[in-house]
Amino acid sequence: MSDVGARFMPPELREALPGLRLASRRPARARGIGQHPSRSRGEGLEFSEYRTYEPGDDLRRIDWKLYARSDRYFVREAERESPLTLWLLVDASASMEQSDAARPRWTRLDAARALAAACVALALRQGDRFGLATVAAGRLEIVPAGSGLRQRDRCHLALHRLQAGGPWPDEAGLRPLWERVGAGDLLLMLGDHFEAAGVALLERLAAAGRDVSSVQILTAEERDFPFTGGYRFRDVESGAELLTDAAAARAGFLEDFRIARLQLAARLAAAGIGHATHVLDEPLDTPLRRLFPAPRRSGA
Amino acid sequence: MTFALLFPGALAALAALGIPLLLHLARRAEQRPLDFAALRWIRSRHRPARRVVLEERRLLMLRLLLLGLVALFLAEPVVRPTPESRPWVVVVPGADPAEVQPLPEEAEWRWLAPGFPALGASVSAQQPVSSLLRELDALLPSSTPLVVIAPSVLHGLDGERVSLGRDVDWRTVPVTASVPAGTRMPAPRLALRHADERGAVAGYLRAVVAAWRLRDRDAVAPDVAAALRVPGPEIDTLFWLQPGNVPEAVREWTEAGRTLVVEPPAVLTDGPEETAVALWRAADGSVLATARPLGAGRLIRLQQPLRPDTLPQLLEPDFPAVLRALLQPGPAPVSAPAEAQRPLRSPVDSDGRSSLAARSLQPWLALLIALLLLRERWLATATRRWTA
Repeated sequence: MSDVGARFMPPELREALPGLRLASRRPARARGIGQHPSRSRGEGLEFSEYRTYEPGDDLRRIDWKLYARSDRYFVREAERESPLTLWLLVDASASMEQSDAARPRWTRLDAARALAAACVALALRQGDRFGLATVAAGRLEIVPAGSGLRQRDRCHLALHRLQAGGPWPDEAGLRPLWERVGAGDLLLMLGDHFEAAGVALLERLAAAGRDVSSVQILTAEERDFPFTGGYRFRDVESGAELLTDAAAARAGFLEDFRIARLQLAARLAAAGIGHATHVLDEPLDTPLRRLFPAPRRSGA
Repeated sequence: MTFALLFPGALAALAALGIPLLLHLARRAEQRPLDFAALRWIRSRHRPARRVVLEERRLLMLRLLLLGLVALFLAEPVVRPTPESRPWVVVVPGADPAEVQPLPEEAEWRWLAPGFPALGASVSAQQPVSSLLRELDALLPSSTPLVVIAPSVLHGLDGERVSLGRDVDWRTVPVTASVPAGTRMPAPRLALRHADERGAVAGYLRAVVAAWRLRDRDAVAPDVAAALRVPGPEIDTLFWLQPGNVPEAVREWTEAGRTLVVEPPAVLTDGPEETAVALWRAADGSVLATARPLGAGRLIRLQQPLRPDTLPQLLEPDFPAVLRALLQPGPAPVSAPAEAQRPLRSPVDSDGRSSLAARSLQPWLALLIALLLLRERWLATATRRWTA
């Protein structure tokens, strides 16, 4: 972990990282020596760190020589090899620029950046390969999967350069994603999930054997609708405008929006997609804890 | 203190109160734009309700207050002393109020003296009664009854009969001690400087002085001369019946406070003739003599030569009295029986006159308006509401 990630990650998210672990939810892959099954031993032989033994770690991974010297159990993380590839799909369409009036500098995209940076840090810690796909200005940009610190920096750079704007791309524009994200790869989408095309893409990816998760990022205003008086609501992506009295629209909106969220959750669950919701004024680590909990260690 | 408006029509300016109300309502119609991606789930198509919601209520209240005060300012507000129902009993110095019955029980007892002091104070016996009565009438509210207790002989009157804006309960009490009348003036001492052929005039003047001497033993025979000699300082009046210019010495003698009488041929070049006023008129109204000031003295110019054929009045039996009245204008009478001087009821409504005692509130209102205007500007510019 470097300080570059700190620019994206709030402290509470950084503190939550040790309790998280990226894992494929596909049961086909049995757990082996490493955290993930491996077919290519040559990759990822990069020493990262010693870490203290935690109950549940495989006894064979303890560095006994170090134990002899220090009388403590350490686990050599560098021994891990992993074929797991994490893809982060960050929605940076125009609606991601939205923020709450209470905290106008903290947009949806900022939250997505923080979550993506946290996942990059997780993957780096676990030695996994990771790649970044961003959707901005109607185009798909991809940082090819890789591992290591330089790959992390490439991802941070891409996140840093990311500017929200434009609509969701059409199907042809998303084709490179299919070429890059292989079967069995872990894919996490960060976005507002308001575009039906984005949800349909997740469904198709899941159906094609990708391990798909998603975090829907909402603003507190979408959750609470705290407006009163006349408002001219504007959708920056479609350009639609609606002039209405907010107080009169509140009950209807909250009901409809709740139903829409339930429907989305049901649809994603039906497609086998892990789903969590993040609201901008809630702690950032909650969705990650929900999606990537540290495995319960029931004996070795 | 009572409050009154001198120009209530200006309250029509209160219609301007609608302007800030409209302004603050019009602001209400503005819609705040907001980016909101979840727009598609808002199904309400209610137009924003045009509820009567006034924004910036403090500012609105301030503006309404400001306009109200401006309208009030235009209406010229005044405050007047509370009309006192207690009657005022004013005693003219010299009268004894104990001799007057009956008197109002609850009354304000004052002297008729400058400042209208209470009866306990000591005041001078000589007061300008007429002037004080008019002042009192202007000061007192018109509803206050006024009782005046006057001695049977009033002194300190002036040329105009007192006429007040109210009915006055006028009581007189008999007094025995009268203020001594002014001493009678001595008869004027005459001098005559005539041309040689006008010697007959001297006879007329001697006859006049002789007539004066019937009532005034001290009247002195005129100093008559045909020469151009300037008369002595004891002479009061000089009849200058010489042709040609009046010498400078005679002029200086007159300007020391004496009277110079001249005939038409006399020439006295300098001096504004238009300041002359008609002094003596014939029975048909034609002017017989004019008078004008000359230094401290005065110049009486006869319109006709002082001869019986041109001035028949010279032969009238009352000529001595007329001449004396011309030369010694007596003072206007200042004393009169109080019964005869009962104040008249003025046709002028006293309401308009009692407003003299009203104090205008406009300067204070102007100050208040200026302060409020500053506060309003401060509020209106400091607010972040419209800039947000």
